[in-house]
Amino acid sequence: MAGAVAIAALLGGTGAASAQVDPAEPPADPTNPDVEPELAIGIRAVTSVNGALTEDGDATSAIDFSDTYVFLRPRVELFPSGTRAGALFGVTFPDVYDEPGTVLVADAHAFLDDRWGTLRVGRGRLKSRLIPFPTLRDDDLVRYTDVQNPFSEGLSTADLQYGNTVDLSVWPTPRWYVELHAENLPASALRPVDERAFRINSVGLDAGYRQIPALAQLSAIRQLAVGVNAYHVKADDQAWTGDALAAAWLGPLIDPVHAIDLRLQLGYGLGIDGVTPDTPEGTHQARAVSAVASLGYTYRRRLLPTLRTNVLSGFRRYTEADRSQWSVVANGFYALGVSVEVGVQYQYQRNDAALPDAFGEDQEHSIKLALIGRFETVFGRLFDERDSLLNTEGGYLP
Amino acid sequence: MTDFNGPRRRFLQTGAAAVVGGAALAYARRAGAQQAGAPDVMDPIGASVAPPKGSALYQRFELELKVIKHELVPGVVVHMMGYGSQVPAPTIRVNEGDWVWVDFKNTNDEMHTIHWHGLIVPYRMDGVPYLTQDPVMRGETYQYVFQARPYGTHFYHCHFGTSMHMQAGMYGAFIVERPDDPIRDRFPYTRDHVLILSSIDTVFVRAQLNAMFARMKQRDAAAAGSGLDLASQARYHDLAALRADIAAGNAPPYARSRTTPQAPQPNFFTINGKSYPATEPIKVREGEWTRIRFINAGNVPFSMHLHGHDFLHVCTDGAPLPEPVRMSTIPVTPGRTEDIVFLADNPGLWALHDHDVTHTTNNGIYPGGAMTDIEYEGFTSDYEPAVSLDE
Repeated sequence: MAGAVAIAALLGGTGAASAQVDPAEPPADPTNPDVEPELAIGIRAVTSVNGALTEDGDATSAIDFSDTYVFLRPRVELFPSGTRAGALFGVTFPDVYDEPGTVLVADAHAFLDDRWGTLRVGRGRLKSRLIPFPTLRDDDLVRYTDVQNPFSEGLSTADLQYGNTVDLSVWPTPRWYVELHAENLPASALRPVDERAFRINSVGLDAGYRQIPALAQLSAIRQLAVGVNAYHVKADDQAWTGDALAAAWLGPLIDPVHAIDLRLQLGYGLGIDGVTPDTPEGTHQARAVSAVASLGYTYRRRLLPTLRTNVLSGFRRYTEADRSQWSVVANGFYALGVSVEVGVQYQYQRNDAALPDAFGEDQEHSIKLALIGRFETVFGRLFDERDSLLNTEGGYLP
Repeated sequence: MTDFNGPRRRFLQTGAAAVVGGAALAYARRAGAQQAGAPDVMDPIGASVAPPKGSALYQRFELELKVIKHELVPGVVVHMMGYGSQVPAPTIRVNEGDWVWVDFKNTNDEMHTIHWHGLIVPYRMDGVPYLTQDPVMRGETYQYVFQARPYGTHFYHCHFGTSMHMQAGMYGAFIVERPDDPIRDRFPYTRDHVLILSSIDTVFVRAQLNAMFARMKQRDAAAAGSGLDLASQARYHDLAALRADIAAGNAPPYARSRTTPQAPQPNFFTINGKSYPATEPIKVREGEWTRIRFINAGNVPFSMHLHGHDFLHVCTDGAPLPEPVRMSTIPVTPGRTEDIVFLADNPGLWALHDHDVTHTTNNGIYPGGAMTDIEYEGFTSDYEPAVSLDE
């Protein structure tokens, strides 16, 4: 309740008053002209028909719309100028096996943004990976691409991807950045409420180089990054644990018609002493090394999106327990239009037999036939982006 | 950091169209291919009349194009493209019959030309891409050489991506004078002001500049890599080739599958690149004639109204009218130039503005836009004027 009152005070009123807003009531300062926010809305629709075959010969199939994401992002400019404030609200549909109507709030945060950096407060994508990987869905290789959340039950990939966060990204130059972040990492909803970690329990620091979006396809080095995270786990004999990540995203062939991209990320998690990956929770707390790599080819006929194909592989080894898991993914996507693709993805997953069943069968082949659309529009466009070509090469303007 | 002013990389070396490189050299080479022994300089009158290259008889100008930060009005700074690194471009004043030599250097990624609007030049000097010349690429210098004619108020502007490039500032006045100026003979003006009118959709220009520069960098890299064909640039030898390409299942860049309508909606209206109150006042002296040359280099019509005076409309598109026309409001439509003269016989401070009052706003806030004032030198008002920004 105290938290609710504090939020209401920030919004300019008492909790009781805010709860009784009369929509017919005129605004507090009717002499101010309305400033309409720039408003971006969008949908990323990821739909597929899935088929899977286990080593026991069990076959499954499903119609899947998970990872579909809907968002809304207003932005306004602050006094006097140069700083922007906005909010991002986005929901996603977490898993094909969830109950109908299950929606995950992926983003619900406010932010301040200017030439030098961005401050973000609220729920959003965690800094649990340094670079994205080109799988059909963003959790297809999540156990290799994202650091493990030691507070998770290990049953929901969303635990690794989304959480309550406050982070500050500082950009001394348009391409070099440092990010400092702290999280209230989520524990699985399966845990009793009083065991969940309602506290800031994670801090981290990332730094790196990232080419601006307009030039990314034309650059040999698209991103280089390193990051460390520390978690206040309050285990019996160990208060803290942590992990480290390093990543490179390269363009060995930067021809915009025939492009090759190469991505690699390595991770090392200290784990909690004595914890072995015998349970789903244990797989998030055991010491481990991980690696994920992708090799992609993109063909852009007439410089328009045409065909992209990738081969990816992820590997994780629990070093103290001497157990491992790995996966190989191959996918290809053909553009039907500027923002619509059909695609196919094959994945082979191999888990050490001693790993818990939560990872699925020891071996599994799956194939997905997908239809993907990315639709976005911006109403009342106000701003250029910090890393636009004009702002990067023509001198920054807010 | 690579930037808009960095080293050039060539592309477009494909198909029938070869890029103009080394300007005069390439130009001469092309002319030579058509006519053995053709002079380096195209001459509308005859090779024997044109001064030799390097002759001091040319009026020479250098215009280097750069992306600049330009203040439209205090508090509003935008990226624009300026010939001579300024908006508007430098005014060129020459006498009728002068030989003009302009070295145009493009230092940004986008392609450009200069069209000499209202001037009678050899067709290969007219600056229309793919009709009279290849566009000028990054790092290239193109030499425009012609004889200045006819007399009057004209202007120059980019003719590549015209709707966006002109909004982005690529325009300047070109005044052809005559010692026996017929207007001065009849109305002995002592002041001569050029007012270039324009409008800009700052959001449109910003988005288009970002998109164009990104597209050019892609093409540049493709040319340096696996190659760049004409179709990737949406270029065709003729209309039949375009129809054949569409019939083969390829969408042109204006198709719905590739673009959404993006008509500019201007939010700032300018006089000489500035919006009120940043516009320069026009100084006059009591009892003297003043000439004002209006040039509409924008894409909306202006209706310029002068307070406290009638004026005489004396020229359209540089050409003197048979008889001056008395008026107080004059339409100046896109692409037109209109010259007026007036006698300063009513001391005071007088507004001169577009009477389409939606154009006297800044981002929708009145007053602003295409508005300035006439100020009599030595006049002392019994009212202390102030600048109001939100009436």
